[in-house]
Amino acid sequence: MTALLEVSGLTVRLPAGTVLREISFAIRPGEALGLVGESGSGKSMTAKAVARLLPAGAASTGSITFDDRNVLGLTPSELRRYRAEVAMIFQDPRAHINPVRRIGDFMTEALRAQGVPAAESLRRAADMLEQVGIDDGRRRLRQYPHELSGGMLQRVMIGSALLTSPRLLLADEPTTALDVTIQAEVMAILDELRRSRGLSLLFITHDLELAGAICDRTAVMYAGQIVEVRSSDRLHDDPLHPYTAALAAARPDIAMTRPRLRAIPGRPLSAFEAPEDQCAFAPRCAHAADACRSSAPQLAALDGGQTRCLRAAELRGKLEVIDA
Amino acid sequence: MTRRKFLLRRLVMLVCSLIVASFVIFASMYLAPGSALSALAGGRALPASSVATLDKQYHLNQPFFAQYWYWVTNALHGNLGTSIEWRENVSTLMGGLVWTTAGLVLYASLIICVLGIGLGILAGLRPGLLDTSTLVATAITAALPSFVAAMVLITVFAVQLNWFPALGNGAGFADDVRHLTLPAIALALSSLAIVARITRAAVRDETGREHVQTAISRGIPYRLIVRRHILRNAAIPITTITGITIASLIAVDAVVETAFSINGLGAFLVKAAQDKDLAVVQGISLVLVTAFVVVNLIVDLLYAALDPRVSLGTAAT
Amino acid sequence: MTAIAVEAPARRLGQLKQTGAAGILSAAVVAVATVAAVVGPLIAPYNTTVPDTTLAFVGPTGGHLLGFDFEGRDVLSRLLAGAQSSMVGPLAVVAISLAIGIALAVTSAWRRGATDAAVSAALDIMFAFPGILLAVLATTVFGPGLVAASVALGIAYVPYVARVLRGAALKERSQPYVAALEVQGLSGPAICLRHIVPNMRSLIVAQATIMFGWAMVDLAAISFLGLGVQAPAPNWGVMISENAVGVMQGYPLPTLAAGACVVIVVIAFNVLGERLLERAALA
Repeated sequence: MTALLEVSGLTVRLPAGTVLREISFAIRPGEALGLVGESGSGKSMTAKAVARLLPAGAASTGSITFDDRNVLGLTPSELRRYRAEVAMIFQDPRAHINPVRRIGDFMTEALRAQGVPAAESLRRAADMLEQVGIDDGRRRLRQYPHELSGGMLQRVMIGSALLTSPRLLLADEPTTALDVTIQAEVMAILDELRRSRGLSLLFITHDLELAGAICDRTAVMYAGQIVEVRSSDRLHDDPLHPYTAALAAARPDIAMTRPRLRAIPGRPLSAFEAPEDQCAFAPRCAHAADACRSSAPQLAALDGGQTRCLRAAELRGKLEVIDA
Repeated sequence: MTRRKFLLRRLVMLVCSLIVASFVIFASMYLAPGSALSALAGGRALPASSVATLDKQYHLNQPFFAQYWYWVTNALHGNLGTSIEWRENVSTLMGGLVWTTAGLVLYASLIICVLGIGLGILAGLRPGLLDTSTLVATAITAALPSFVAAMVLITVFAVQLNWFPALGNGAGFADDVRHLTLPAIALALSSLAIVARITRAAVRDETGREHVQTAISRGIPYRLIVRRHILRNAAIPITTITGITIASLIAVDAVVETAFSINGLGAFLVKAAQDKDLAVVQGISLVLVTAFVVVNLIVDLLYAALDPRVSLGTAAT
Repeated sequence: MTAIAVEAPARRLGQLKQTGAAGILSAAVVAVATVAAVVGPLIAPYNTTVPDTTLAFVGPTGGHLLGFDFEGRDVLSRLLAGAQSSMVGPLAVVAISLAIGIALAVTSAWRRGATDAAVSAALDIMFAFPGILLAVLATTVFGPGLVAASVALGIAYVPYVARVLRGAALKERSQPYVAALEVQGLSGPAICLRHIVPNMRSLIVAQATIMFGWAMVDLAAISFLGLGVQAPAPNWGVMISENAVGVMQGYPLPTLAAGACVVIVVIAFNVLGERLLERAALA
């Protein structure tokens, strides 16, 4: 199956420094890919690059292909059509929805810009609200954002993204700003709607397990690079990269009996702090060898996945994840 | 609903402000050394008949608050007392002058709105030469007090270039406008600069907000984004600052009228103060303060209309 | 993102250095004006009060850098002598509004609750009286002069000062050290005077500097109207008005020179005040 979205060798430079290095991945139609990383890893920036929302002054090299179209080279009218097919959901719904306009305006804006008459747009919006689990849609459409809770606003955000019938959804940490119980509800809605419509999803999060729960495959990012890509069910039990293993081990688990939390020593590097001539994770890696400090590893295929580690083959099976 | 409660509260505040302000204006009679009578007389020697008239008019033999009551109810009926200098009704004396002052303030407000907001929006939306020159120009003019601006304008445009008359009111509408142009500019200049700067900052702020990102990501055309998301949201701080500066014009107007020898309420106020004609000063002060408070109320109402988040009590800033 | 976190402090430091030039220049102007205010009348090279109408409006000649005013007096000397009354008035205005404003702000912040609500409402109502109008009223009743005008303006500025300082005082009030002092048995007024107010001093100084600029403009306007300092005393506002006749006749220099003094000093106070405000916010 040909990929719907194909990113190849994407490198993005900002005035402050390089934020993405040689990012390459693909998403097939109907597939969900998780993009996991800590702050500064570049995961949000990747989504923004795909959505053509990079800040002014950003220089991109490499290629992004959507349905065989070159995304980085779209003309303005092609770009508008592209935006209808690729929709983005953002992290803090209250900041990302205009507070002085009604929910109805927010939801129907994109449709009306495409020429759908106002009454029809509102009807579709009300229908969509029902599908995301908000009842009394007509009344809600007349309300203002400050009258809705964070969880409801995020559902509105999801609903409005789906109104233009996109083929790819980019979700940038959609539940991070919400309470834990609400998180589960919103994730459930997102997952169900995605599957029922056969949409592709790029799901960005810092939570490895959350990505594993709804994504078919998961990619892990560190310091502006992808360090591992694996199918989700194998990622947790059999990681290929030491960083992934460390991430999985560091997450506190309710079944744990160890007396201390396992943190990764040191702090995460941002992309532009990463050295170009060695493995970026080497200083914090428990398995680092001299070779890791003298040459930069490439992303290489291994056992159905990909990993950016020189010692990946020899470390198979030795990377601890579950603790007794 | 909460909107209505907000409006009600503002109206109550308006009435309270007017009561307190009118009280201060009234009570000033008693603050000076000497009696209320001597304050009203302003140092003049009065014949017995005048004393009797004043006694009756101001009910000077009654308790303090009763006097205040009479004074306020008289004022509400349009009777603002008698000028000691002109021996005429204050209201009559003020009559024609109100239009000149109102015209001047309106003219200046128009300049502030059109030029100030207009420049601010253009500078905010497009970085570049216009933006930089706006910043520089407003930095200079924001600090120019109106009477200094008046002198500069008269020197350059009236005396040197002879484009506009320097002094006086003019006759007939078109001539009025010609005469009031330089004064309106002098009055508007520093306010214009402040409004332009804040408008520019507000537009810049809004352009950087996350909800604008969302709109872009949905493929909304740029001009709609500017209209519905940037300008619509920036309208809130812009309206507030414009309203506040226009309200401040009411006080500064006296200075500009004096500088340009314009026959308006403000110039009359100043002359009356110099002549120690307390009744006139009280009357004009009452009118000006009322106008000031009303304009501020209108600003609050506009703010509430523009920002749906406003509820009871203080509005979100 | 850590990327942004690393960048921000470095950028702020750069900004501070950039504004340093404007800040230093303003401070210099303020210093010069203050010196002129103190010693101006003493160092004025020529007589400032005796008129000589034969020299009226004569332009700059040797030794008289700015020429003569409408009464034939040396303009430069009048400007130097006028610095005193032009700066003393605003000083009084700032002192009065700070004294009352700090008291109200701190009391309101300390007591909170009903007291705070009442004071805030009262301040909102006081905002209704523009400073210049109050000064005109005061000078009508008390007679023209710097004292009446300054007191009136000082009172009119109180709502603004009190509102700004109340916010800061509320923040200080909720700091842990205040609770600690309360537990130790210190009384409210003692905590306010000895701890809260001193901790707000950089904000107070910054606000005072900015207000000095506004007070200067307002007082110059009052003197310009003939209700403040009275001619023939030297004062920048008075000089603008008394030499205005020259503008019509083609001799704008005396008026514009006095106007320039006001504008330059006011700008200097504004810029200095804003820099101090930035520093107070970063502290």
